[in-house]
Amino acid sequence: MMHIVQSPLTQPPPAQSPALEVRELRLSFRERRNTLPVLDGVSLAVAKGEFVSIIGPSGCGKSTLFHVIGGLLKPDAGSVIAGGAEVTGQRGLISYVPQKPALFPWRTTLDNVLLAREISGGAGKEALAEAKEWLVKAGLGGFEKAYPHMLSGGMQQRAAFLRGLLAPQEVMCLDEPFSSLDELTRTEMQHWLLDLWEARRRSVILITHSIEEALMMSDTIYLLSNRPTRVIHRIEVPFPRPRREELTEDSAFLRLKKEIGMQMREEQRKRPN
Amino acid sequence: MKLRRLWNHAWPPLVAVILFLFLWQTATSLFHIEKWILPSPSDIAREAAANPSGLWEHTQATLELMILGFAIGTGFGLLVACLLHYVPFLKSSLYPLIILSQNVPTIALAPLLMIWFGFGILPKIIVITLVCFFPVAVAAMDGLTRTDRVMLDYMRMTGASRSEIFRKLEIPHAIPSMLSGVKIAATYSVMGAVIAEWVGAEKGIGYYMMLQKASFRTDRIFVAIAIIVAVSLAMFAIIALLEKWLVRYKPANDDN
Repeated sequence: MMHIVQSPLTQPPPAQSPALEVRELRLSFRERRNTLPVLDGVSLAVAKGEFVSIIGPSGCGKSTLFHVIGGLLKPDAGSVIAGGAEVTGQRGLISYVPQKPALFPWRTTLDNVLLAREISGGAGKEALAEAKEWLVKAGLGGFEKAYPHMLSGGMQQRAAFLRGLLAPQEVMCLDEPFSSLDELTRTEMQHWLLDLWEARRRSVILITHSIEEALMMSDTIYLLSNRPTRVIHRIEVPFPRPRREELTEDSAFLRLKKEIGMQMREEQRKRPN
Repeated sequence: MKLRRLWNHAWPPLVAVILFLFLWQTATSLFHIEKWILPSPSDIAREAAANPSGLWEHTQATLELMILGFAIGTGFGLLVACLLHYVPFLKSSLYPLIILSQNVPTIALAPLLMIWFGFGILPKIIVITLVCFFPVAVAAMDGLTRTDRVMLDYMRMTGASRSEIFRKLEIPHAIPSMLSGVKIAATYSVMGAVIAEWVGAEKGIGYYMMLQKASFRTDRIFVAIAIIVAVSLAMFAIIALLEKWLVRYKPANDDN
């Protein structure tokens, strides 16, 4: 209906140069004689301070896309552009929050949160004070000296998220950060993240398979196709911020959710196997 | 609480050992077994208490040899593991050779080393170093390769350099594996020292055993064996304590 903007590939570039942009990414995995095309011309853009979600059927190249953006994989064609400069294949330009918290078990919560700062060479007194302050805000005050195994799943994920948030890079990439949590913790975490982000706007790319999560959090949603992956729709989420939980019962929200759900199911049905 | 748990773990094997010693003691007196074939535990204890022919000096010599060899072997093993891990080309070319070299039994090498390097401390140190090197190097390399994939991806995406990944992720991640190798090396080092002394020495537990064998002093050989076992256990315990301290971040119920 009205909200869905078709044909993303011809979409005009935003006025202000985006924080991160990928153009026409193509990538195939080769194993002996077989070629498995994964990315088939993916283009998307994240403006400064924009929250972008990526939804797609399971098994489409979502994580691969992150690995290309993060510089772990080199695309066959296409480019990654950050702040107007081509950075394809360069590492260290994004702050990454992986699917599993992946906190280092030998580091305390505080040291884990400071890791990204340490790597970029900015772990001074300032960073320490800031990290302590954020730990309190994240409900982890008093757990600074605790090792990760002493924290619950939700707390670990929050620590992993803070590690990403305190990193100096402008763009944060979240790879299904809530998928390993139970339903209750997950909703709680979504709201926590939303509050946090609304207080400190960063450019975010969130990979998710929850339509509701994407609608709740983001400004823009990219709907991906089956493998080989393309962007099939770019959806601008019209709801004003700050967003509250009641939004999930709003009729426009439900309509949009249903519509995206239908598109997703249609895409799932088209699966080759 | 903690003491009680320790006791609960300790008493069954303790009872077994005491029972075994008791059976041994009664068997030797019941069947009138000659002392030079199998002395009773009390005979052995009496002999040990009397410090027969400078036993303590011999033990000390072996301890010095062992600790030096263990330190060099372990250090060398860790160094080589890190180096090979850091330079993949070196690993692919040298790793098979390291495995292959371990099929040569140390005891067969010991006489050769004596011929090359004489009867001094050097050939013995080399034997112990060789014995300790392998388990440490292999365990460390194994630990370094099995670094958590997600953590590694995180480090790379965040822009960590090769040396940062090595220092902040791979090394700490491999420490438990390294320590399990060091633990094996610790017990092997005692064996290595004794074997080296068998082949050629003028002091040490191994030398002492050869001396007593020549005069059929079975009781004294048993004393020497008891000392070797005690030293092995002590080495193991020290490394286990070190492990407990270094890997203190692990949950308590994880270490058995």
